[in-house]
Amino acid sequence: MSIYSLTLRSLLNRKTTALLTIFSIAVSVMLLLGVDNIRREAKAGFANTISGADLIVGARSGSVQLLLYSVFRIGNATNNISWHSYQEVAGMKRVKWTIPLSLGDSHRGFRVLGTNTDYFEHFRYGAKRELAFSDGGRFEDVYDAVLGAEVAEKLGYKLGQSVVISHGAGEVSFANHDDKPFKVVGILKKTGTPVDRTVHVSLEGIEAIHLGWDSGAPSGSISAEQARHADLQPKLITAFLVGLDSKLATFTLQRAINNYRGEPLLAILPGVALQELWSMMGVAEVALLAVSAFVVATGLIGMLTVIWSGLNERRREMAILRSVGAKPRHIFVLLMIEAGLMAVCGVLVGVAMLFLTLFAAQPALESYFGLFIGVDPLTVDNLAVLGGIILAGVLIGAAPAYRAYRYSLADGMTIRT
Amino acid sequence: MSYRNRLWVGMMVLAASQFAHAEEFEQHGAHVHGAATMKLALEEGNLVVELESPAMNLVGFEHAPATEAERQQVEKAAVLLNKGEELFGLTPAAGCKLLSAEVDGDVFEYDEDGGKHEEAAHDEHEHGDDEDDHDHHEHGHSDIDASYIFECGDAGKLTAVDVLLFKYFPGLKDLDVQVIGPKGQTAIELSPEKHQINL
Repeated sequence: MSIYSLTLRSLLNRKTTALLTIFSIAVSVMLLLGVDNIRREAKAGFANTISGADLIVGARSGSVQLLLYSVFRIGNATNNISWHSYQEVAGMKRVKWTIPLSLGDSHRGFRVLGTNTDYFEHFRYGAKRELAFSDGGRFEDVYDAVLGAEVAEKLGYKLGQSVVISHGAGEVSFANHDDKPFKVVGILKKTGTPVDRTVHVSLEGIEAIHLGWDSGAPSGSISAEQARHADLQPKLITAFLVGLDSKLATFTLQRAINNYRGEPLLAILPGVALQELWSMMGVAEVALLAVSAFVVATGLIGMLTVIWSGLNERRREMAILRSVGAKPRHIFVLLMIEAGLMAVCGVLVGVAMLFLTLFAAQPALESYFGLFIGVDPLTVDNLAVLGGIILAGVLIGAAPAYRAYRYSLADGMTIRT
Repeated sequence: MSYRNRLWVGMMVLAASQFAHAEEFEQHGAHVHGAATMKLALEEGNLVVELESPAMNLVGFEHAPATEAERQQVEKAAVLLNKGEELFGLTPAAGCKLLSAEVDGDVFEYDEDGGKHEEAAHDEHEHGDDEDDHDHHEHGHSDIDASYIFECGDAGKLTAVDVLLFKYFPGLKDLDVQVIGPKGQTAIELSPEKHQINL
C-alpha cells in the first residue's frame, strides 16, 4: 500500500472532519474567486454600455455624475441644458451626429427616455453593436413608445399596448400622465445594458405630456389631441451624446464646449469618466479582495487546527504505522500529503461551487438588479492564486507533520503517556 | 507628408471657436502647481498631443521674465518644448515624424529688449482672439500650452508613448493623461517614476 492510499484511507476514517475542513476551504475559495469574477464582469458591463460616442454633454457637474445619469440612468441630473445650446453644439464643425437625451419620467419603475430617431441610428453598445428590434420599429408618432427588452418581458407588454407615463422617477407615482397614454410600437432586442430597462419616447412626446404642467401638477386642460397641435419643440433636454468625424477633434471640441459662454456645459469623454469611476472604486475593490483573501487564510488555519488537534488522538495510528515499518519521515510525509490533499479538494470543490452558484444566481441577479454577470473562465491570475492556496495548504501541513514526526520519534511503537 | 495633408490635419484639430455668444458668465480653470494635463489622440496615422501645464512646473515662475536669468530660463524651456521628438519617445518602428509643435503661454510674451513689459503683454493677451486663453490671467497664475502633431508611417506599430517631459522638467510631478487610441478612450496618471503610455 502506497503512502498516498494510506493517507486517503486515513482521511476516510475521519471523513466528517475532513469533509467539513474541505468545505470551509471551498467556501473561502468560492468567495475569493466570486468577488474577482463579479468585479471583472461589472467592469466589462459598464464598459459595454456605451461605445461609439466621443463625448457626452450635460449641465456642468462632475464627469462621473454626468456619465452615471446620462448613460447608466443612475441618479439624476443637477440641471438641464437648453435646446438652444444643444443646437449650437450640434451645429459645430466636426460633429457628425448627436443624440439628445431627456430624462425625468418613469413607467412603473422603469426610466422613460425622451430622444429622437437618431438614437436608433447612432447609439452603439458593446463592440460597436447597433440597437435591433425584436418586434415592431421606431417611434414615429408623438405618442409612440419603444420598450427595452426587459421592460417588455417583465411587464408582459406586447405591441399596441397602452402605456401611461408617471411624472418623476419613483416606483409609485402620484402624478400620472394618464390623459396622454402612449402606444407601444417597438420592442428592442436584449442588449445587457440599461437600454433594456428603458422606455423610449420622442422628445415631442415628453413635451406633450408636460403641457400645462407648469405648476408641477396637471391642470388637465389640454387634451392629447390638442397637444398634438401645440408647439412641441422641446426647450430643455438633460444631456446629449456626440459623435465626431474625427477622433482627433475630440479634445478641441471638448474644450470649445467647456468654454461655451451661453450656459455652463460639461463635455466628457465617456471612456475617461469611466476610468475615473474605476479609480474611485479601486479602494473598495481592494478592500473586498483583501477581505476574501483573509477568509481563505481563515479556511487554511481551520485546516491546521483540525489536523493539529487530531494528532493526539492519532498517536495510536502513528504507532501502528511505525510497528508495520513506517519510518518517522513517512509519518511526516503522510501528514503533508493529507494537508495538501485537503487543500486541493477544497480548491476544486470551491471552483465547482463558484460556477454552480454563478449559473444559478445569474437570472436572479439580472432580474432583480439588472446586473448581468457573465461567467468567466478562470484567468491565469486566478489559477496562480489557486496554486498559491494549495501551496500554502501543503506548507501549513508541515507544522503538524513536524509535530507528528517528533511524537513518533518519542513514542516509537508504543504510546507513552 | 504634403502640405495639403498637413493642412487637413490642422483643420481636423482646430474644430474652431464657433460661438457668436457674448460672455455671459465668468469661468475659472483649475491651476495646481506640480500637476498638468495632457491629451493624446491617435487616428489614421496622425498623433496629436496637447499639453497644458501651469508655467511654474516648466519654468519655475509664472510672471513675465524680469531678469536675465529668468529670460534664459524661459528661452530654454521654449526651445525644449518645441522639440516634440525628444519629449515623446514613440515606438521607432512606427516611423513617426513631428509635423508641427506649437508652444504658447504668457511667460513667453516679453519684450526682446529686456524691459519689464508685463503690462503690454497682458494687454495684448486680453485682446487675443483665442477663446481658450481666458483662464490664464486669473489670480496671477499662468499656464503654458503646447501642442504637437506627429505623422506615423505605420501607426499600427505605435504601441507606446514614453513621456520624457519629467526628465526635462523636474517641476512636473503629476501628469493626468487622457488618451484616445485604437482601443478607445482611457485615462492614465503619469509620474516621474511611471511615464509610459501603452496604446
